[in-house]
Amino acid sequence: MASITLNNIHKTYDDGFHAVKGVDLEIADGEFVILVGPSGCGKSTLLRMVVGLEDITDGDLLIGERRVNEVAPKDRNLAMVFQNYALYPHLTVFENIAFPLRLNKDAKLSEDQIKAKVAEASRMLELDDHLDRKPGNLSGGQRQRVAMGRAIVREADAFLFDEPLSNLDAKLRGQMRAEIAQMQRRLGITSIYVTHDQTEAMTLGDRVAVLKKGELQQVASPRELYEQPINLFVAGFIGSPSMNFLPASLKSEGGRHVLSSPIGDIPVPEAKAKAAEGRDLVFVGLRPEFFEDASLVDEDKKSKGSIFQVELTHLEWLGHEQYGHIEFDPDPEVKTMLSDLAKEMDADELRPVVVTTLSAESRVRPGTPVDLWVDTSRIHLFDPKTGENLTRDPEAGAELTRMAGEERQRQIDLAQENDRKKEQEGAGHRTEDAIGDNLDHGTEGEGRTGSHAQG
Amino acid sequence: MSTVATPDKSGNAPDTSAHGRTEAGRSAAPPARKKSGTGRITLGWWVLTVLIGIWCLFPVFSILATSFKTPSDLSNGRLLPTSWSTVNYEEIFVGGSRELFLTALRNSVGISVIATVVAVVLATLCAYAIARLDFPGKRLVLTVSLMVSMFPVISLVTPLFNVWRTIGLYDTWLGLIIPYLSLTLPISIWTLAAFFKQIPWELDQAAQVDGATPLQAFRKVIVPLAAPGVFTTAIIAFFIAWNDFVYGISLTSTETARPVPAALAFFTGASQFESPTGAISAAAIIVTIPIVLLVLFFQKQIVAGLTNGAVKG
Repeated sequence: MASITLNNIHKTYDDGFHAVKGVDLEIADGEFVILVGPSGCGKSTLLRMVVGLEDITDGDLLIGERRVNEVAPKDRNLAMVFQNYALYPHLTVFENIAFPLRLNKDAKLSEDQIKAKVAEASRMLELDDHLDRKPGNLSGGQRQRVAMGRAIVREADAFLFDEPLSNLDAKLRGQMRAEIAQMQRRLGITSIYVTHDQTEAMTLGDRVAVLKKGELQQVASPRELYEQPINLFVAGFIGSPSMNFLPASLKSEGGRHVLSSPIGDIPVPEAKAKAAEGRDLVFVGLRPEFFEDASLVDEDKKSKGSIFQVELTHLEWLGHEQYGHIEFDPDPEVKTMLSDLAKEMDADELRPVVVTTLSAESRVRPGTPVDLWVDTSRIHLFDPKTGENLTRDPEAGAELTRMAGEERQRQIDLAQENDRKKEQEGAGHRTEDAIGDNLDHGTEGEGRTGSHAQG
Repeated sequence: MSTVATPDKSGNAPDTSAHGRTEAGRSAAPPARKKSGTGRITLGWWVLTVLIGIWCLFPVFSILATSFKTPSDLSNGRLLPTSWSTVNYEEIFVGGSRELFLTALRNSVGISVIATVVAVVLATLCAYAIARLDFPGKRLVLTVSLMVSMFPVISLVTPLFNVWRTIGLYDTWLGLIIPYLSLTLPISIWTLAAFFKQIPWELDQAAQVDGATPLQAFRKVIVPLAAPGVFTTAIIAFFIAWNDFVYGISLTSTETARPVPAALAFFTGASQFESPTGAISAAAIIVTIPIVLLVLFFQKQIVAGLTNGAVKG
């Protein structure tokens, strides 16, 4: 167990590409940190620098108190789970898990000790029935667990995950996500997890670090990222369906403040208006769930937002909720602003459409004017040039992250308490999260991890 | 003399291709439905296969038949011996040519095996570096090794003969092993580099993260995975060394190092007026046997190894 500290880490490749630009990150002992961002943002490079597979161009990397910039991967005592698992195809599951133990010259483990450790890991991961099989004959989920077993067995200082779930289908991914989360809590081990999937980022992370083009945008608890994003990029990247951005100008008439946007005029409270002061144009950030069919909103809630009339162009009913799409015709100036914004967000294009999440009971119909209520107390305003969030409340955000930290400690204690109880009861043969049982049945060998295609 | 060596060369090389074609003919057969068109195509393949098979194997059969002829039978102008006799085999194993043939056989086996082992070990290390590392001059190494293998052997032999005589390598095992390495190394490097490139890089990296030194990662993970490739390479390298004639005859003068293909040229008949054709044929058959066996047992690996090199190299 150890903390990991990144001090102004840079990575420049031989061809001059500056992949990671001065990342500062402190990861506390036992913390689960997610690195997330669009492809090419440098998140995997960063992880590989931590584990030692990429050289660090500049800056300091500390594991515990030790600077490890020049230390070989084998001496960093980190465990890594690769995207394609990187199991050794010529070794059995048992030997795969035992591999790091056999290499550890300092510990000088006897064969019995190795067996005991592998057995413990395989019990935890429900791999007992598969120890004699080769990785090529395992299903995706089983391979994933072998890769995790190889990491667990080491008692490493930290776990590093490089998009470990991206090769699994959606259902398995959900199960494995839960399994990883529980395992991390039980072991209370420092973990860094790279993903581009924001569901994984939001559900697994104590803190999430959002990267864009090699630069750290914001490091905070998932809740803070969602509610108090620092800039346009983070606001747009976190959340699905993503936040709507509308260019708007502020008009103030006798104490009433109105944001005039392409989908209509939205009255906003004084505090928000103040943030936009002095700017001709701002981007209004509206999450889909800020909207609601006005006729379904409680009277006391109504006062928190404002009502405006609009015509829905398209409606998707999903059962538990429905998505209302409002398309708008952007004038040329807005059009260029939106395409600039798309570039800023690292997306291909931003369609001139606002997505709203409405209650499933709503009887609104596309093509007719409807009254929509929007929660203006939660909207964010962004500076169109810098992308900075003008309405961010740093204190509220910090509070959210602090609470997440406390929650983490509580969960670790709880998980370890549970483990202790189980051991005392002596019923420690089967872990209760019987997720593994489901997985064991799906044994289709979907192509071998192995390499050589013979005859 | 070279006519003696050629049949055994052309005897095994087309042998592989004949097998390859037979397989192609077979694999074309299963999808054949009840259509006369596909049936005719299958039949066409079979005819072609048989023709090519006869074309390739006839010289081998001719030598085989000759090796069973009695000396008086040799020039009777007929393909098959009038009476089958093993007199030629007795001649090379227990008769007058025994000394010549068996020492040559020992030389051939020893030199080819050593050249193969050295070539495979060196090529494995070299190919791993080429597949994994990005070092300046990587392309140069590959190109030069290819050029070396393309270089006509005959133009090297004369200067080599002079150098070897000066430095005392003439007529020694080492004097043959070194030039054989120049023949076997390039193809070994190319084949193995293709194999190594197929092995996901993550495996070395995972091993290193797991606590292995680069050498341990190579030995415990990469080499076992590349074993089929290493094996193929070894077989191919062995063929090349085993079949060599030009170096064998030019860089040796006595029985201390002369390999079989060269030794065949020194067979003499029972008397001065008797031609040694029968004994030579018998010896040619004997030295072809290991090659044929290797091909028969490992043809799958060999084809895979060769096509790997073809596509990925």
